Amino acid sequence: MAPLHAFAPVRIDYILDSVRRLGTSAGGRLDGVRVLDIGCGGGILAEPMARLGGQVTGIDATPEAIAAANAHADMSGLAIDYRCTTAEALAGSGVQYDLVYASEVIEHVTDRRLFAASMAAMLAPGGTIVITTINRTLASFALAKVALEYVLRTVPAGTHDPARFVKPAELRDEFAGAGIMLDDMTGFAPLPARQIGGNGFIRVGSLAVNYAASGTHA
Amino acid sequence: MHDVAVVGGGLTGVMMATALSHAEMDVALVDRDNDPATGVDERTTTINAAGARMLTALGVWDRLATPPAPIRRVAIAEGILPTGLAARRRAQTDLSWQTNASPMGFVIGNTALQAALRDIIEERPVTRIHGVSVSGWQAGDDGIELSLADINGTGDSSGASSLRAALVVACDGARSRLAEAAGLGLREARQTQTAIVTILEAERHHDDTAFQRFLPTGPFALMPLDGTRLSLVWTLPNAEADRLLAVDDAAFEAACLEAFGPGLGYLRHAGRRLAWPLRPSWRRRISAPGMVLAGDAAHAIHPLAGQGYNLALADAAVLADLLVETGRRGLPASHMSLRRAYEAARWRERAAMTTATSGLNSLFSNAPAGIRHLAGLGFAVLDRLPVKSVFSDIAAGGQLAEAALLEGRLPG
Repeated sequence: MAPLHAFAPVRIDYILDSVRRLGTSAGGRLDGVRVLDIGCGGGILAEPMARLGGQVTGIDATPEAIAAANAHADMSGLAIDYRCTTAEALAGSGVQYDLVYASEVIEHVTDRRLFAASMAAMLAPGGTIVITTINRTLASFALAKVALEYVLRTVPAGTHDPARFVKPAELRDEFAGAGIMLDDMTGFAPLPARQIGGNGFIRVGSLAVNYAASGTHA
Repeated sequence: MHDVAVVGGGLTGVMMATALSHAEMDVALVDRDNDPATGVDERTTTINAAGARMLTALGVWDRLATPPAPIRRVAIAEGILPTGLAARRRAQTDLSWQTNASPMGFVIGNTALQAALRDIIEERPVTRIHGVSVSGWQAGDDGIELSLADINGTGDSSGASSLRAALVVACDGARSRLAEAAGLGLREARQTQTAIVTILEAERHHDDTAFQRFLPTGPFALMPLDGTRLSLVWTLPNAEADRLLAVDDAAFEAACLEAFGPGLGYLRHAGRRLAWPLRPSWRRRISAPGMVLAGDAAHAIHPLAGQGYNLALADAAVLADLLVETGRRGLPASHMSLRRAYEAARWRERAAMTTATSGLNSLFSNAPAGIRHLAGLGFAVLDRLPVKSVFSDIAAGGQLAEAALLEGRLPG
């Protein structure tokens, strides 16, 4: 899990900046903000959101992930509402959140239009949506698929299906179709190991590999 | 569980806990010392301009019982040379410079600095655990559990035999046991030199000048103190140091005069002679899961340029900023991003200082005797090396690290 932990700070910074930019919450904290973490895994992003004052719901389709997330939240002394469900199923219940994000999830989704519609349905007025994912380019295939899965083996082989990687224009179109205008995008790139910020990630202009998008109701 | 546990009650540990208490974190200080007012420390600490700004921001500067002595000039020369030709050559090569603006640094007596730090930390929200030593540790996913042992049964640990913290900041000195326990290996050179540290009183005023004499046996450094007093750090081969530690005051004064020359008149010995074994060392890494090293535990450098404490101050300033940043991300102090950023932020200055000070030392004292005595050649070598800029950078200070406290602002 080390690569995902190293990837956390830059994603948190982008989520907090987006929340501020779109006026969902001011001051860099999330006090009173209803947060939905879609594909929360073990809670790498959900816990920071809860520490910053957010009322966090984390959902994941994998029971093992929810069990691990609950155990970790107990250890951290954080109250997070973890549920084993999907965005599509949860949207049917009519609940709404001020901040809805899906980080490194949408590239595993089969029906992206339905997924976007579900996120849009759960977004309260004035809320913020954030997506982080992987572009479908030769560079992303080389880096995210071949290098990470087969050469460096930092993630298990078969983690990604490159055919499901998402181009920024496709993402923008699909969310526009659901009534969400993704009006900001940024690239993420890893820093060379042991250099400044060693093993961390920074924001870059190029969306060629990892990138993030944010927006609200059009 | 505390966010941060600082281990070590010396100048670095107390300063560190004070600095980090401004970083929106819950800080504990674990300290062996029961009695803050133990003994008189003859040693002095050189603080560069950035360090002075930081200590002012922390409120320490205003509490110093004796005012810090400013350094406005630096005078560097090779040792007293025997021949008339050499003397003329030496006059041609001016390695001295001065600043017209604010002082390039200050010299503070360790006793006064320790007292001011202990005074200030009382006013900070820091949990103090006195009179204990760390007897063991266990790293977990979310931090470290330290086992505490009461020293002589006089401890003030409130009965606690352990302490949990997300991050341990080891300020337990050059031979850090915590670093060793965390597997952060120390590469050490053999100890062949000892520094004699004491106070001298000169006949003439030093004019706020720091003096460095590079002698064949090692550098002789005088830092200006109040009045006509100066702090001496004299690096010598072990045997020679042992001899000069044992002789009477008159013989020691004669040796100082011979080494330094008549520039300041007679040099009277005005303190106790302390021996400080010099063991150049280097740690490849200064962090492990749940732990970072700071101060001498991270970098025990040669005291020649008086830079050791400035590195410790920069460690604390950088760590304070990183803790604020980590907290504002909702991440715990144990998060790997913090220690990796600390490691990366400190790498450059650590490497620069270690090479600069060890390079300066060996440049002058390890050359073959034949070359050393060719005064002209000696200075030709000197002129081609950026010695002067190294010293002026060091004196200016804070150039290799960026942090709010080094600019005189509190973190956050």
